[in-house]
This record gives sequence, structure tokens and C-alpha cells, in this order.
Amino acid sequence: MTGKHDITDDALNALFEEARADAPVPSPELLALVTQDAARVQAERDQRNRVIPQRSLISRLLDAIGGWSSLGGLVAAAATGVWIGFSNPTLISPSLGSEIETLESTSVDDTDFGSVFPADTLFFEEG
Amino acid sequence: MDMAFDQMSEISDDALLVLYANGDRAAAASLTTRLAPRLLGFSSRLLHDAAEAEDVVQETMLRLWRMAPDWRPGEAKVSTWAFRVAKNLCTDRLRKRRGVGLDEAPELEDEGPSVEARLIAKDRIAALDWALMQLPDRQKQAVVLRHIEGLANPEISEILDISVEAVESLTARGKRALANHLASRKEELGL
Repeated sequence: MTGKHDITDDALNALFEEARADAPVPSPELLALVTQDAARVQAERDQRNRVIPQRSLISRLLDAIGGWSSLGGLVAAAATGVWIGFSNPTLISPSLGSEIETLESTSVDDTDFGSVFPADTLFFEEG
Repeated sequence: MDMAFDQMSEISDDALLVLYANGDRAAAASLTTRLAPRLLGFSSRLLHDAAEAEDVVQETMLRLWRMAPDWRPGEAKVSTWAFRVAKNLCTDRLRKRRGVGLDEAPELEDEGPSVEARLIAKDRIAALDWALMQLPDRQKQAVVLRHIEGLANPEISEILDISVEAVESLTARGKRALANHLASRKEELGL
């Protein structure tokens, strides 16, 4: 039962319906601001993606060893090692070559250890 | 390449947001056309201030654009997410306006429309708006979402972060309170 001042559900629903039809319409300025924001956010995102590009495996490896200058040093050291390995020793140093030849022609039996080490240092008694 | 604006009408909000995240600006325009009027209606009813309601719409949409790359399609509705953000922004503004926390804020007593309110409430819609402003925030949010924005209770429960039963209770109490607030003006408003 409804009293004199009671408002029925139907009356309230009719009021809601009117309010729905009377909804505020966004101004063109507001719509423009919102779409400008969308474009700006997108541009900022694009900018960030350009600033931090996806880095290749080679550039990450280069960074790990210290960059291009370190790579140059590494190549030079490797080339030197290869050159030393393949070269005839006499080509490296003439004097070093003759010393090696002397060592090769001398047998252990011919070596006079006594002239190198004094006799009292070669023999000693225990106890 | 951007899709033509009229091609967008068949596409879901979800898909439009993904398109926007992938660089399609027409998708942003389409989403704005869909969401901005609804958010403005909702915010206007909660805040009763056109300029503040427009600020809330712009801020909500800005957050949507920023969140777009992280959006996971199919998990939630874009409109639900947007209403929820708008509701929170409105709540923050109402708190600042009152200068106290919502929980501490005293509920307005039913004193009937003031002289000023009677002057402002020239017609039925204005009277409804005035009566809505007399409701506690949660009731007002639930009533506006259910009866003016026409959202379903499960969607409202997500927006307000409460159970569907709590939504039903809030809207029922809200409607009763509205009827009480408008009762003294029944004849005048032709209700």
C-alpha cells in the first residue's frame, strides 16, 4: 500500500529514464583533449621504443669484453701467438737460435757438472 | 595502418584497445566516442560539477591510454575498468571537497530540499540530481550505475569491489532513500 506522499517504483523508474535521456554530452573540446592525449601517449611510447632498440648478440658480446678497442687487442694478441707458433725459431732471434742448436748437440754425459756446482755442494752426509 | 572509423563499430572495446596499443589512432578515437559520454554521465551525477566531471573523464582516459600495452584481452571489460577508475577519481575529489575521509564523513540527514536546492531544482531531473547528492556515496554510485547507466549487477560489483548481494542491497536502499527525499515534492514534480 502506498501513502499520499509515497513515490512508486514506476514513478522513480520513469525519472531514471528521463535522466538517462538527459545525459550530458561531451564537448568537442573534451573529445579533442582525450584523443590528443591518446596520440601523445602513443608518440611517447614510440619514442621510448626507438631510444632503446633491441640489441644484437654481437653488440652484447662486444660490450662484455670491453668494446671494439678490446676486440682489436684480442685479435692482435691472437695473431702474434699464431705467428710465433708457425715461425722458424732462428727467424725470431739469431742468437736464441744458436743457443738452442748448442743445447741440442750437447749430451747430458758430456756436461761437466763439477764446473757448475762445487763438489762440496754435490755430496753431503746425513745425520 | 589505421582502420577506417566506420569499420570500428563492430569491434569490441577489448580489440580496440589492443589496436590502439599497436599504434592505431583511429581505435583511440573510436574508444573515446564509446566511453567518454558514459563516463561523463556517471562522473557528473557523482560530482554534480561539470568541469570536475570533464577532468575525471580526461584523467580516466589518459590512464587507459597508458595502461593499453599491458591490457590482457578477455580478462575484464574495458568499460568496467574505466568506470572503476572514474569512480575512484570521483571519490578522491569528493574527499578533498569535504576535507575528511569518507568513513569519517557524516551521512547527510534527510532535511528536505533547502531553499537554494528548491531554486536549483527547477525540474524533475534537477530534483533527482539533488536527491542523489543526499545519498551516501556507495548508495549513490550503485544507484547511478544500475538505474541511470543501466549496468548489470555483476559488473557493478566489480566496479565497486563488493559482492552482487551487496550491490542489490545498496541499490534497494538507495531507491528507498531517493523516494523519501523526493516524497515532499511529489505533487510539484508530478511523480
